[in-house]
Amino acid sequence: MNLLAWAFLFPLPGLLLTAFGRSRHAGVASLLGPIAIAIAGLIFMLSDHTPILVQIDGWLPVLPDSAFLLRLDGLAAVMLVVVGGVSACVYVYSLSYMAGDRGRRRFFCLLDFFVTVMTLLVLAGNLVVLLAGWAGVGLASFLLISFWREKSHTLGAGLQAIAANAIGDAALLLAIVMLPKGSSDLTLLQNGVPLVSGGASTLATLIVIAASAKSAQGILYFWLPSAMAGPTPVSALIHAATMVAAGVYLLVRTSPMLALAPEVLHALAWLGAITALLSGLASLSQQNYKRGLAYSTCSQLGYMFAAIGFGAPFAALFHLVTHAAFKALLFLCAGAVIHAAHGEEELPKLAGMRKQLPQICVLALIGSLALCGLPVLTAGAFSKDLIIEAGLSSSTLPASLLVLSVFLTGLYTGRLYFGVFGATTGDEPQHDLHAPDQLMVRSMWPLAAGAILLGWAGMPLARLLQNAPKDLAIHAVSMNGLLIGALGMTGFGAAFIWQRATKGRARLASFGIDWVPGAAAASRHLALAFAALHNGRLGLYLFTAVLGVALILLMAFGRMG
Amino acid sequence: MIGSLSLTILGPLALALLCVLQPKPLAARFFALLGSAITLFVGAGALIDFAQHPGSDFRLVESHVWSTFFGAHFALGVDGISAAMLALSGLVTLIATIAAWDEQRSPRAYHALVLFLLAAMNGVFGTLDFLVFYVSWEVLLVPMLALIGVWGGEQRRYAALKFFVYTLAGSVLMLALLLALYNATPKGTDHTFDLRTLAQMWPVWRDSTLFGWPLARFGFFAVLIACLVKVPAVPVHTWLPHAHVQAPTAVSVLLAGVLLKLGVYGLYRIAWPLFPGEAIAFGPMIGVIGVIGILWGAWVALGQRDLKRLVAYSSVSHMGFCLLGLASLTVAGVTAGMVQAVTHGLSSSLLFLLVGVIYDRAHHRDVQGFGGLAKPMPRFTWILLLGALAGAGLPGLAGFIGEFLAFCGGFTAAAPFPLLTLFAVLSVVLSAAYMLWLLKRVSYGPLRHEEHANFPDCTPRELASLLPLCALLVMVGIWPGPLVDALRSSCEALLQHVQGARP
Repeated sequence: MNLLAWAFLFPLPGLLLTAFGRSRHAGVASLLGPIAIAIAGLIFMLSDHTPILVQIDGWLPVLPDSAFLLRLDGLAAVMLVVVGGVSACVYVYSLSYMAGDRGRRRFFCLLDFFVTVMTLLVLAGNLVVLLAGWAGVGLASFLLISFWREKSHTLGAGLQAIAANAIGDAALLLAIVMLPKGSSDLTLLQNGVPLVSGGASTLATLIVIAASAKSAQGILYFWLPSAMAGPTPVSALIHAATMVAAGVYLLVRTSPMLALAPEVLHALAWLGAITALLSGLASLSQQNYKRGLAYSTCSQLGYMFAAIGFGAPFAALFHLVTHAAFKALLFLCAGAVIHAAHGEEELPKLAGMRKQLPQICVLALIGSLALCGLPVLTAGAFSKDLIIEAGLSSSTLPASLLVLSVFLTGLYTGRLYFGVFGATTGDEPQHDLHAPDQLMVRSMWPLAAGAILLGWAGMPLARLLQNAPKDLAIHAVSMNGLLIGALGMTGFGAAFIWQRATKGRARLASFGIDWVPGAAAASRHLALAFAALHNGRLGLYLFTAVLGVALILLMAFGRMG
Repeated sequence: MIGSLSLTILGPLALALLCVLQPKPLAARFFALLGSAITLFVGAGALIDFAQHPGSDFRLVESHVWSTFFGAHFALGVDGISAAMLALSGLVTLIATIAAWDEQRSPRAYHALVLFLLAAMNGVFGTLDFLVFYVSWEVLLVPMLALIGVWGGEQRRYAALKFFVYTLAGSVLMLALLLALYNATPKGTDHTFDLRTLAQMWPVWRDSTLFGWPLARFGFFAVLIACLVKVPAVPVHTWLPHAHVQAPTAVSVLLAGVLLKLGVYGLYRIAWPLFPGEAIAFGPMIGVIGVIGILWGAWVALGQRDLKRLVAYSSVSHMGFCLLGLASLTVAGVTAGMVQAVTHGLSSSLLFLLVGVIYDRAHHRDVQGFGGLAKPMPRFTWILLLGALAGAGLPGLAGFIGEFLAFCGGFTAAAPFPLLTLFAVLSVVLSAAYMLWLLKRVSYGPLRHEEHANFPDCTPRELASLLPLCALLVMVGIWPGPLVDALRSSCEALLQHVQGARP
């Protein structure tokens, strides 16, 4: 059984075969890794759920807790299945998507590297090992966003991701350094470390900053929309389903410790709720299909953050699982559409795909409905309902923002869906389409099944986790759930009418929350202002020097008098 | 009776003579290879011994009377710290020799000088006698001056002179200290320069005076200045970028890989053990100097256009961690300083070699003049990525270990170190920025120049010098245990000795 805790090494044989093999079908061998990882998670779920611990002493001898620790428990097993499952689908999809690309071998090697470090992150038993995975996924994200190295805008996007990630890494590093001796063990964090007074809130704040950098929350959101410059399978796997969820995973892991700092939890609820609302609005203003979806990811991650803020980490994890399925599905559909349209990503130019890509149209509809939260029939409804119910019973104000976002979710999902698959008005350019092959379409079926069925996995999931509430009620049908679902569907319907009325060009004019260029401009102005101080004119220097001396004398005399 | 440590000093000296005396360049290259291999063998052997049987004792000890009048002995011996340094000097010289295999300008003299330099470095790292230490420390400047001043770039004279003046001026006071210590020896005890005895006599230095100053304070600053110039710490770092830019690739590698570590080693071996009271009193000041170096170096590196200057400033930043760690006076911190010295030796050597690889092809080092090299040179790009990430301190690679331990040490130390550590953590963001920006501008993006498309990828000889460093960076990063084990006992003993001086 101990072998299961080493699951992060499973992709390595595939990595080596892909890197050094001479097969024409580069990448097929890599598929072994994700499947093995998912199976490892499933085996654990079917066993008796005793956590598996691996401890190797003497890793970094000076530290008080110097062991290399791995830990496979219920939470890690759930993440293993999510990571393994989604990446297996994405791998199969990529076999077709990247078929003609010259860098295909490198692409699969990088994906393997990503899966390795992501699994290490999940299986880490103490924070130092977690940090290794944490920084590793950031690196993999950079390399994959900039996969097409010749395009210069992909590089800027990759560097933005690295910059945000580095802030998160620094925060996590500080958190580790701050921990009392011998307590970076995750089990201790899971049971709430007895901390020196006042230390808990600083520690919790640092962990929240680290998580927000990884999950694109608050002001650290900016890199995620830019990250869409990478290949679409990467957007589906890394920037929708797994890596961006690592922040949520960290918060779920450390939630008992976070509970010692109620004020941070409260701020976290607000952070999540506001991000959910604002990025929902931002999605409405996007012209680019993938960026629209990226803002939706920010928004849904905001739900998960808020859930942890409400003190309901299980709800956050549940939403993480369902979101991984339906958002990966939506991205893969987007990839199929973009692939078919020869790389076109602008919304008005993609209109009228329903007739040409009927299978994709159905799959995207399943994903969209799950995102809006169609009650009973889709998985998204179950998990979102759980979050909002938890919020309404603890902190009403942020929860009401989330309810508002449900409508927005319906609206932006509908705008994207009907913008691409809605009825044509006849004046769009006719596409000379490059139809997706069956491999690509079939790779999405498991995800579609997940988007429909995973809602029913809530109760078994809750039994897996140590800290899940015992009196949990996951309603298939409840009054609140139906109302929330209805709200989402109203948004979806409104979007249909909106797109009809504007002939498929529905768009919120402009929603300016882009603070990065603003900050850049501000710092440039500041620099220019200071540059005026050292312009090389001796006269000015002398004048200011004399002025300064005069001022000092004046002050000195003023004090004397 | 020649012991293995004498062999690492006398061997390279003899080989240097042979290089000049025989006519064939090829033979000279093999002599240089042999000399560095001997050092590596002895150093790595001792290091492995310390990793397997940790201890703070000195091993491979030998002593030959040098002058009964002065009480000077040619005393040699290594503990964990010097074993690591000795192994590093052997490895880096070996790799620099491979990198300079094709040196065409008087190769015999070149390799003879490198061997001479190696002997002097081993003298510093291997000795237990202050006089031998001082002589090696000063003699070392001669081959380095020649290597930069003769084999360097266009402004080699200026750079060599600047290097010489800075380091020489830094260490004049050390000679004065040597004499002062000799005079201050109480009557009735034998005069000695044995560092172990001198360290035990620290109360004597504390209580005697020199021109009205406490001798210990004078001594501490004399050694400190000599070492800070070598490290180099801000603001006496300005010789480093010049020296690196003008030096040929292999000499840059030696400079960054080993010579900078001499400064740190001097602090560990002399300043802290001999003057523990001052080390405690001025620790916070050294910590501040370290953190200023960390941030200043990283900040200035962001703005560099010349690749070598960029890597040189990143060295200034990374070496600041050694000062921060040592000054924090915690087990983690003091160990961190040495770990960082070793790992920085590996990663900066790798980066300078890589700069050399593209300089050999493009004949310039302006970072703006590259772009898109990933296509013609994929292997180069992967190795550059590894080197940049190791420099940026990515967990899982060697650069992380030293930085992380330094953070841990700094944060658990007394005030003001937690605050200083907080500032130092900012460098995580800065170093990721300049390293990846470097990668982006060199290897990514569209090809800037048509002729770059024909650049050949790394040759087998270049790979032979690059890959061992890559392997070590990964190995130490994944499993730092043995290295840390080898260093820890000596660092703990040093710490205990210093703490014993607390009133």
